[in-house]
Amino acid sequence: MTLLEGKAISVSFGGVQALSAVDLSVHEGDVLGLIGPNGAGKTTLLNAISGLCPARSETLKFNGTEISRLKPHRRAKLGIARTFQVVKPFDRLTVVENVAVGAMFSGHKIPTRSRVIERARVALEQVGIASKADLFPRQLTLSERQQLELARALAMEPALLLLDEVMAGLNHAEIEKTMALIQHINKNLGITIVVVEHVMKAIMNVCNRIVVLHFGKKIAEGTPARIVESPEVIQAYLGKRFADRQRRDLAQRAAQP
Amino acid sequence: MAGFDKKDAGPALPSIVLGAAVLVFLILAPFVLSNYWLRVLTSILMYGIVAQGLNIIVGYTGYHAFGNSVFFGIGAYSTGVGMALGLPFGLALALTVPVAVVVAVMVGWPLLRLSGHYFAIATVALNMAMMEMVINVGGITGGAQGLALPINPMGPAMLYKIIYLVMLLILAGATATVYWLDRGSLGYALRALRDSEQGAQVMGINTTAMKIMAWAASGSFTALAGGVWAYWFTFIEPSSAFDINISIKGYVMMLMGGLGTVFGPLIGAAFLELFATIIWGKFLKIHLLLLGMLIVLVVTLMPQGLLHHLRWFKRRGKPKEVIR
Amino acid sequence: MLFQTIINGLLLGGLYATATIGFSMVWGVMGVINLAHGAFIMIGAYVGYWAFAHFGLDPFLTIPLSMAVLFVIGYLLQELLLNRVMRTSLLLSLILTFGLDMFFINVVILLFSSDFHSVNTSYTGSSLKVGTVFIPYVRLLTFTFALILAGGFYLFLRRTRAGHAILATALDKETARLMAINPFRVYSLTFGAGAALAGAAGSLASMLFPISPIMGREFIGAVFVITVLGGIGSVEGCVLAGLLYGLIQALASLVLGVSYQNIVAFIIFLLILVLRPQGLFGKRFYGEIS
Repeated sequence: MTLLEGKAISVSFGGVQALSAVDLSVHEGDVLGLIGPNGAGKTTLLNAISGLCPARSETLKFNGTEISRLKPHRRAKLGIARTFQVVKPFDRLTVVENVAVGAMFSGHKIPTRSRVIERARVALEQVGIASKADLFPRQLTLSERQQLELARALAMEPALLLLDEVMAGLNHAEIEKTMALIQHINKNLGITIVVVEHVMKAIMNVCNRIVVLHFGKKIAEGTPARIVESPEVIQAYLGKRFADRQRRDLAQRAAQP
Repeated sequence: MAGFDKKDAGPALPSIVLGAAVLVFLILAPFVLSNYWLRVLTSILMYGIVAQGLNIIVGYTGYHAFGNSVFFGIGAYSTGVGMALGLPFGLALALTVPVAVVVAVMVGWPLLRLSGHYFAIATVALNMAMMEMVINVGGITGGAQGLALPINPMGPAMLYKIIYLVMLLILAGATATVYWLDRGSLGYALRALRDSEQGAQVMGINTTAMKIMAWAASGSFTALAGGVWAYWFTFIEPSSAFDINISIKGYVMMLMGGLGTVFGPLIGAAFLELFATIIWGKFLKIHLLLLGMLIVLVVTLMPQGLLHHLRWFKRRGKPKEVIR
Repeated sequence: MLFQTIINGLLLGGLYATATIGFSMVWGVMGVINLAHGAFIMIGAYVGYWAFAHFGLDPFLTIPLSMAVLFVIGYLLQELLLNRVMRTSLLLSLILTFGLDMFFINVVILLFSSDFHSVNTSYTGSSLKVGTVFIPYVRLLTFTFALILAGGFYLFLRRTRAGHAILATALDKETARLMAINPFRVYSLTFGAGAALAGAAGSLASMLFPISPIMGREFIGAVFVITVLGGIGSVEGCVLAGLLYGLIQALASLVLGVSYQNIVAFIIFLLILVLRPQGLFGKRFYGEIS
C-alpha cells in the first residue's frame, strides 16, 4: 500500500526552481533511495515532505491524509521522522534527553514517563550509543552525532523515516554498521525509509527502489539493477566506469546462494 | 511528568540549609525588618519576578526579550486604569493577567518569528511604542501627566507588609512555574526549540504555540509585578512604568545568577539590588556610574552567571539517568 | 508650509544618516548592536562645545578633533572589552554596551553637570531665503558636511585596503581570515571608525540641538529605525533611509502633531522588521551572525 504519495511537487526559492513537478510514491516497507548530484534537490524534497519549506503540489498524501497544508510538527505526529544532513542536536540537553524529546512529542498525547524512558533507552541501544547517554552532543564524535540524530528519529516510532546523508563523513566500518542498522529498522521494526545518500554501495545494497533527481527533476526511477543500466543516470551522475562496477557487484550478489 | 536530571542525586546539604534559612527569613521579614529594609526586600522580590519572567522567555525559550518591561508598564497601567474605573485592587491586579496574555499573543505572533537580535530590538521598540501610546492616548491613563492610584486608608506600616506579601506570593508563583518548566515535558519542548527550532518542529513540537505560551507566562508575571508596583507607589507615569532599565536590570540579574536555572535569577536579583541600594545610599552622585561599571564587569568577566561559579551549591551526585 | 517642512526634514535627515552609519556598519560587520552609540554622538557634541567654549573654534573646524577622540575611545573599547565578550555571546554585547552607555553619560554628568549647553556662532540665527522657504545656514552646512562624511566613508570602504578588509569580514569572516585578515583587528577598526563618525555627527549636532549628557538617547531611536530601514551595514542605505526618515518625521509632525513623531517611527520600525527585515539595501543574511 502506498504510504506517501506526492504528485507534481515543486519548490522555488526566489528565482531558482529547486524542484520541478516531481512525482514520488513510497510504498509501505520500501527502502527508497534518493540520489543525484549535489544541488539536484534531494534535501529540498525531504524538506518539502517534512514541511520545512513551502512547496506546491497537486497532492501530497501520507497514509491517505493530505499533508500539504500541515505544519511540520503535525506531519511529525502523523508518523514522519527525519534526520538532517547538518545534524541539529539540542546542544544543552544530554544525549538521552535529546532522544527522549523524540519520544515525548511525536504522538498525540505525551506518554507516561516510564514509556518515554523505555523508548529512549531502546532507541539508544539500537543505534549503539547507550553508553554515551549522559554526555552532551558536543562531546560526541561526528559519527556518534549522526547516530544521535538517528536515535532521536527512532524514538519517535515513526511510520516513515527520511534519512539525509546519514553516512556523510563515516569510515568504512561505520558505513557497514549503518547499513545493517537501516536494514534492521526496515525489516524488524517495519519502518519505511527514504534514504538520501552519496555512498552508492549503501544505496545499492540496502534499497529496493531508487529515484534519481537532476536539476530538480526526476530523471529515472526503478530497482537498483535498472538504475545502473539507465543511460540518463549514468550520464548525469554515476559515470560509465562506476556504473559498470555496480552492475558487476549486483550480478555477483544475485549469483550468490 | 517525564524529565531527566543529569546531576541529580538530590540537592547538596549546604543548599538545603541555605534554602530553609532564606525561607524562614522571608516569612519573618515583615515582623523583623524596619520599614526601609522591608521596602528594599520588596524591591528585590519585584526584580526577582521580572528576572524570572525573563528567565522563562530568555533562559528557557531562547528569545531575548530586552523590552519585556513593556509588560511591567502594561501591568501598572491596567491596574491603575482598573482602579480608576472603580475596581478594587485585587480584581484590577488579577485582570492584568488576561491583558498581558492578549498582548503577548497578538504581538508575539508576528514578532516571535524574528530571530536573535531582531527580536530583541523589536521588543525594545515595542516598549517604546507602548509608552508613546499611553502618552498620546491620555484620557483615563493620565497621559504624560501620570496617573494616581487610590491610596489605601490602612496606613503605611500595614500596607507595606501586605505589598511585601503579595510580591512574595507572585515571586513564589513565578519560581514554581520555572521549577515546573525545568523538570516537565513542556520545559523540554521549550529548551529543544531554543537549541534548534527546526529540530524541535520535526519532532512534533508546535514551536509557534510554545513560544507564544512562554511569552504569555513571562508577560503575565512581569505585569503582576508592575501592577503591585503601581499600587505601592500610588503614582505612575509612562517613562517610569515603561522604563527600559527595568528589563535591562532584570536581564543582568538573570545573567548574573545564571539563566536557564531555577534560582539563578533570584540570586542575581538579590545581589544586584542590594548592591544598587547600598551604592545609592553611599554614593548618590555616582551610583549610576558604578552601576554601569558593574554591568560592564559582570558581562565581561562572568557571562555564565554566579551559580555556575558557586560550585559547592550545585547538586552533588554522579550523572545518572534519573527521571524526575 | 509643506515645502518648508520637506526641506527641514531632508536637511535633518542628512545629519541622522551620518549619525547612523557607524552604528549600522558595526552591526553589519560584527553583529554588535552598540547601545553606547548615542553616548558617542553626545561625546562628539561635548568635544565640539568644549573647543568652542574654551578656544572659540567653530565646531565645523573641530570635527577632526572629535573624530580622533572618539576613534581612540571606540578602538580601545573594542580591543579591551568587546572582543572578549564577543567570543562568548553576541547578545551579551548588547548589555555590555548598555552598561557603557550608562557609564559614559554619568562621567559626562560628573565632568560637565547635567546643564544644557549650546553653541551659538555668528551665523546661528541667519537663513538663506529661497522663494518662500527659509534654509538656516547652520542646517545647510550641517547637511553638506554630513553628506561629505558619508561619501568619504563610502569611498574609504570601497577604495582602501582597510576598507576592503572591513567589507570582506562582513561578508564572510572565515574566508577573510584565510586571506590573512585578522577579524578582531578589523572589528576594532570598524568600531573605532563607527565611533569617529558618531563623534563627527555629534559635533554637527552641537549646533542644532541643545547639548546635554542624555542627548544621545534622543538620537538612538532614529538610529535604529534608519539602520533597519536602510539595510544593516549599507552606507547607501543609511543615507537614503536617513533622508526618508527625516522626511517622514517632519511630515508626521506637520500632520499629526509633534508628539506623534516618535510613535510613527516605532511603528515603521516594527513593520519593517516583520515585513522586510533586510530593509532597502541589505541582504537577508547580512548582520545576522548566529
